[in-house]
Amino acid sequence: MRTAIAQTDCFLGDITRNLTTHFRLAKEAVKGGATLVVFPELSLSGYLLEDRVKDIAITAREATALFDNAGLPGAVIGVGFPEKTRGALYNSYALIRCGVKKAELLGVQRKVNLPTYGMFDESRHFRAGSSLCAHELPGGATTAILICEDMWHPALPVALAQLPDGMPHLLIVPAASPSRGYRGKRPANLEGWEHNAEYLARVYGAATLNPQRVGVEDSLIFAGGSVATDHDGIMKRADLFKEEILFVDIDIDALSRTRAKVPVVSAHDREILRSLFD
Amino acid sequence: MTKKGTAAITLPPLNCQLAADALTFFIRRETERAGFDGVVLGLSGGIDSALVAYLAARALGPKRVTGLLMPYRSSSKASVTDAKKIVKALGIRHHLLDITAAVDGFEQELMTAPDIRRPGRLGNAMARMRMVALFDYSLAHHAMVLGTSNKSEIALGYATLFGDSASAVNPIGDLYKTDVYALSRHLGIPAALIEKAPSADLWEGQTDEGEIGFRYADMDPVLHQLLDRRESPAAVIARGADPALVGFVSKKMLAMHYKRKIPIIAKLDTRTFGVDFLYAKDILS
Repeated sequence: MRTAIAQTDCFLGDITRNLTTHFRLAKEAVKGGATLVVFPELSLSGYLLEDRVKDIAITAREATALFDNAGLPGAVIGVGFPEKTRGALYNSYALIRCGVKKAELLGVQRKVNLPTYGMFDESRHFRAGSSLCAHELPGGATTAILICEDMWHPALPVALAQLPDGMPHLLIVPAASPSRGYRGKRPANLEGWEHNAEYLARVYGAATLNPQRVGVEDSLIFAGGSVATDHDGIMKRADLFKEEILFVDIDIDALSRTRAKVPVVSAHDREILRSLFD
Repeated sequence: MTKKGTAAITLPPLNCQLAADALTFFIRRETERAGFDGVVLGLSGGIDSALVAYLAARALGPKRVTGLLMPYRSSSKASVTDAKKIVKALGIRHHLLDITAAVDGFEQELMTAPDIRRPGRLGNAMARMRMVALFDYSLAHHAMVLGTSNKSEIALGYATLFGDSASAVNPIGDLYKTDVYALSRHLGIPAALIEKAPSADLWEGQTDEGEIGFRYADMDPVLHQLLDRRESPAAVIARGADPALVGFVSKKMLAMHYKRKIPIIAKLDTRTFGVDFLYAKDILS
């Protein structure tokens, strides 16, 4: 299964303009053979929206319709957007299957853990999501979405592994992580992302795709450095400080074989968890 | 400066290559997104403004960078000579604007009670006159004003409010003076500029370290512990740092915070600028 991480920059708060970039990069990815193209967190809008959230938020249906007639028939696109419902605003991520004309919504994930510390103030502007589920991709592979901070909360992958079909094959981890810590080999935040993505992939026998933002929003420098991991560790890493398409081939059969060989996560965990939490 | 058995109080070295790439990206992106043709900065002949000039030339190409050399009558002659060396080495644009007549005019026409705290007030007038020239140049030539204050100075409030502290965008405000030296060496800035004593050059013989009373090499690791690592002053002293130094910087860091705030507005209505009108600058450009 050929996938692509689209490491994008964007115009803060300008969904129309950013959609053009999404089309351009998605077409390049599809041309290279990708059937799934994943963009970073809030890729359609940019990250530092603050009071602008309520003015530009769109419904999941509207986000899907943006991909009508996109010229990407058959491709599945993962995009981040500020979602509005009748009564709330969410930091959401949609999996959209493009058609010859109409696009179809495969699923939406709402960010569960909204960072509100240091430079982050997300729970001021968004409501927290309260569910987590797996989505089936064309071809049968399953995927789940952990938006940025959600990857850092161990309970979420643990919960995903308890789904009836077990841990999804592919974890999409869209992020917009402002770079900080320039005293090591790589920006310290990216080192953290890599360790975490590698840990998840090794422990759960899942592949992870971590599309990172690139760009500048006021003081925040998004450095890029997207990463893809599987049960053997880091598969691929994107460059820093530039837009890039990173092609990642994922061997679903190999993931399944690994899980069978090293069944670290099992149905038994559910009973252990229950007894521990009761 | 550590006691036996305690972890050293150090500032871990900057990854210069990475920081240079990040700041180059930052300057290019901020300049272009804000719609400016280029950037302008005050070139004092010191290391901070030299570093910003090098980063800007790397980001935008030398022809889109302008340095304003703005000496006053009492400025050290070496300041202009050193600034010209930077201009020549980079091939950036420059203007030599002598602020003496403007500052003298201020002194004669606008200064009340000229005997009270005269040297400090004249120093402030010089810094603010340079700010006037920079922002005037910005409007005339569509160039964004780059700030040149480093994190050590900002932490200690060692700047003139609305003078050298004023800029549109500051690429080096999160680098300690120690980092500024390291990055300058990495970018190949002439050693003579790096080695000379840092000075605001407001009067003859003035040096930062003479005026502040401590060396940047000693202050920066302590600032790093207090500011970035959020250690308590007591813990830093317990690890062997000079108590006088720790007391000085921890007090200054908070006492000078007013210099880092936009002017405080009394809140009366539902949404107030600076309080709860929350937008990134970049969302409006």
